[in-house]
Amino acid sequence: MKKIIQLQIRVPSQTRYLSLVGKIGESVARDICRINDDRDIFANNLNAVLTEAMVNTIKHANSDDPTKDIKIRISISNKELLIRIYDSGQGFDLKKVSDPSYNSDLLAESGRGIFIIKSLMDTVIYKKTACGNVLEMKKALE
Amino acid sequence: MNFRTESSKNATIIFVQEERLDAHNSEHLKTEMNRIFESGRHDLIIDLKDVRFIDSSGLGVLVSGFKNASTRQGTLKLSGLQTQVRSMFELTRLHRVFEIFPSVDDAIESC
Amino acid sequence: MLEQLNNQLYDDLSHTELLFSVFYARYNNRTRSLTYANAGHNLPIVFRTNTHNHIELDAEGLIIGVMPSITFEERSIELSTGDVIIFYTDGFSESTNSKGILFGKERILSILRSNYNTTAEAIIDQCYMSVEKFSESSLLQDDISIIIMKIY
Repeated sequence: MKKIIQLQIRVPSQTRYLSLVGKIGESVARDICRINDDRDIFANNLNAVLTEAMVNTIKHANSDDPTKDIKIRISISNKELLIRIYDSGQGFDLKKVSDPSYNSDLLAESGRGIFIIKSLMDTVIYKKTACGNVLEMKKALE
Repeated sequence: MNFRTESSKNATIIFVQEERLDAHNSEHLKTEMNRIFESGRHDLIIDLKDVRFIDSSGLGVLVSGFKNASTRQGTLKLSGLQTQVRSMFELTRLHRVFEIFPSVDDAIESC
Repeated sequence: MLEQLNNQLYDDLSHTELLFSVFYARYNNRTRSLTYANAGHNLPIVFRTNTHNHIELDAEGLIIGVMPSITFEERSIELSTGDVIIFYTDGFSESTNSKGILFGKERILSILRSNYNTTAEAIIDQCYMSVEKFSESSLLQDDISIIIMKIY
């Protein structure tokens, strides 16, 4: 039986909404995930990916402008998890937001966000749209 | 951010009383850690027993506290990590940088 | 040995923000026992030829330079004919391609699954070819070191 869940969320570009979006992600993950042990892990991972992606959008793409909005689309089917985060700002360079993946930067105070997203998702792409940009993250599911 | 700070004979403990330690509230923890360092106390324990979720900002703030403590010849230890919080430390290899204890009492004993 | 290394280097390292990781292993040819300890290094993978399963080798301890005195745990594992062990630096698993995707542990495992019955040299060549092809024209962000150990 095919099951697809699609959510569209729109919140102001402010960190106070991280908790709300994170919790929504956890709820969706728990609904989709059959196996109890994996459920907590999947919920945490979805919470983490949404949180990190939102923070990047708030700080970099929307340049910390609290009057902007963030639109999030989550689509989960049996085969794939797809998350798209739309911003209407200047955008940012995905490659420039550094990741401390080697020991010399293990003690860096920032930069882990994108690394976390890349570790938990299969693909991470940032591209332009008609009215801004979209951060698109996919993960194949079993 | 909700937290409670206590002094034991060997260390100062900050109990983080939030479910999430993330970009929205982590700066408050940083401010509190700096306040403690500036007051001359260099050995810190951060208890994360109530924390269910930590993001890269939360991790970053703990790393900054760790570096601050080291510079002052002090220590910063962690206690009470829940399973998913521990996973984030492992993902970013920070579980090999911090001394992590199951409970606050274990951390206090080690000081 | 790791404890001594840390004791000696801690003073120098504490003035910088440098840390380094070490994975130390000793192999006993006769008993086929690999004894090891880890100081924050990424985990070597043992690929078992008979079951096609794999294990990551880990032991308790912190990265070198973080504390003046660290206790390291020592563990050991029995190896059998055909087993392949890969020791690597995170520059390998964390190589990215132009889309920003990480090479990752899964790709390393599939190289082992497809090449475990060739020589150690051939496996290493395959590793380097794969990661070069994967990262396309991307500059390598970190250096890569790989050691393959094969038990005959």
